Amino acid sequence: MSLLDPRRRRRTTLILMLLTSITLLSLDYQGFRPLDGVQSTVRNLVDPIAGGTDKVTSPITNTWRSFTEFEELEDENARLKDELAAMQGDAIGASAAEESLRALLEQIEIDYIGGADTVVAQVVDRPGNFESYSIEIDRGSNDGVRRGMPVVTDAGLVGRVSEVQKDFSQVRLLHQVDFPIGVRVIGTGEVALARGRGIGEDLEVKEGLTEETEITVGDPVVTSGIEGSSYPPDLVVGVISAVEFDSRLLEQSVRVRPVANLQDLRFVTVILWTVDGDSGS
Amino acid sequence: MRGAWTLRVVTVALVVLVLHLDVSPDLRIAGVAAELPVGLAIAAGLTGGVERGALFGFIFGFFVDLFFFTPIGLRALTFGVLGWLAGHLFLDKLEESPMLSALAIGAGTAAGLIAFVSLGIALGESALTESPITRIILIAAIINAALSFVFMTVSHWMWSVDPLGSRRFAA
Repeated sequence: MSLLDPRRRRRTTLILMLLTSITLLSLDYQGFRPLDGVQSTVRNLVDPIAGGTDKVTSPITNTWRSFTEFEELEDENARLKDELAAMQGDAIGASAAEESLRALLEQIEIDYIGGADTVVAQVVDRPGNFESYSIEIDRGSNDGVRRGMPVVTDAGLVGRVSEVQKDFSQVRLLHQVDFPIGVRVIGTGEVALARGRGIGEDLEVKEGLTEETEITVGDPVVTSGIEGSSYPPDLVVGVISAVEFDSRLLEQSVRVRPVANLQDLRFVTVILWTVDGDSGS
Repeated sequence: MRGAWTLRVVTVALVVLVLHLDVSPDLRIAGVAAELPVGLAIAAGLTGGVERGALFGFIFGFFVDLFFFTPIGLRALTFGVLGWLAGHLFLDKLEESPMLSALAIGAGTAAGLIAFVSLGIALGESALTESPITRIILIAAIINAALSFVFMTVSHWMWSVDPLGSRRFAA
């Protein structure tokens, strides 16, 4: 059998391809720097083209979304109307709700970042099929971004940096299933653990809130910032959207609606803060 | 001739890559975006034969890998093997039958995505398990099957000025 034999050539092609793939995977896992360089170069060449395409195709994609997401928008609209009515009722009926709202606004406006440096980043891609719980931003290690840094918008916490390359990073969003966040309900002072439950779902707080804890719908929730926490304290996470009592476990099951819109992020702020004190600068 | 061929291959790969990165995530069906690169890698094998399918799938997969946080080489391996396997299915009958092309591309997309996710999980990419895998595979396969005519037409156009002429590697 010579090399010109088609069968032999096909086998050789497959073997060479498998070996090259294994080599690439090994190099990537070992953090082979030239591969990062190739990645950055190719992305820098293609990203402007992709950006230009977006302007051309946006009327089509917007039309498509208005059709396919129409029912979702209707549901969302109805839900928001219900919530608004409930909140209006609460606001009239009890001054506590007003205080909560004021507290929430204060939390948003105070320097909750605690003096840490920040980097504003643009969200460059909507997630693909296998990255539903993450976004990609146009800032990376060259900008001081490190793995684990919290990411916020003006409204509140959106997630954490999970992967970092030189010029871009991946951010895990807090609605990811089982995404853990240490939280504190304003007014109660109790620390609990919230977890993501999937896209469009409110976070769930099950661990840490006893039956005595007085929680009402609309209470603001912030990061706990206890020692060893992955987040600095007092980052706004969301507001309490439902409170139920689990009589079997004698615990309250609480839902928290994130205040940041996790499904339509355009710009985010990375707080250059890590739990081990690496400022990234 | 070689220049024209290279230009066509690069153009097709670039257009599909940009559409995959920037347009298909906005055109979701039941929350699932089209997996265009998988469809193209299969069509490239179906229309070009084993070696061209494998080589195109591998190189194209490598470039797609550069835009995601999954390990570099994962898509290269998956698409390369898909192109290689699709090349074995190369038959004139397949080219002539839109139904067979759709079936091959749809089934190939499902198989490719299963292989991609399985390999990824085996390599420790646990984040892949957080996606609705079954739904993604099913819908992406249907979308690619529906787009098979486009994939096949583009792939034929891509290979039609190959300097090797009409000689098929799969012969």
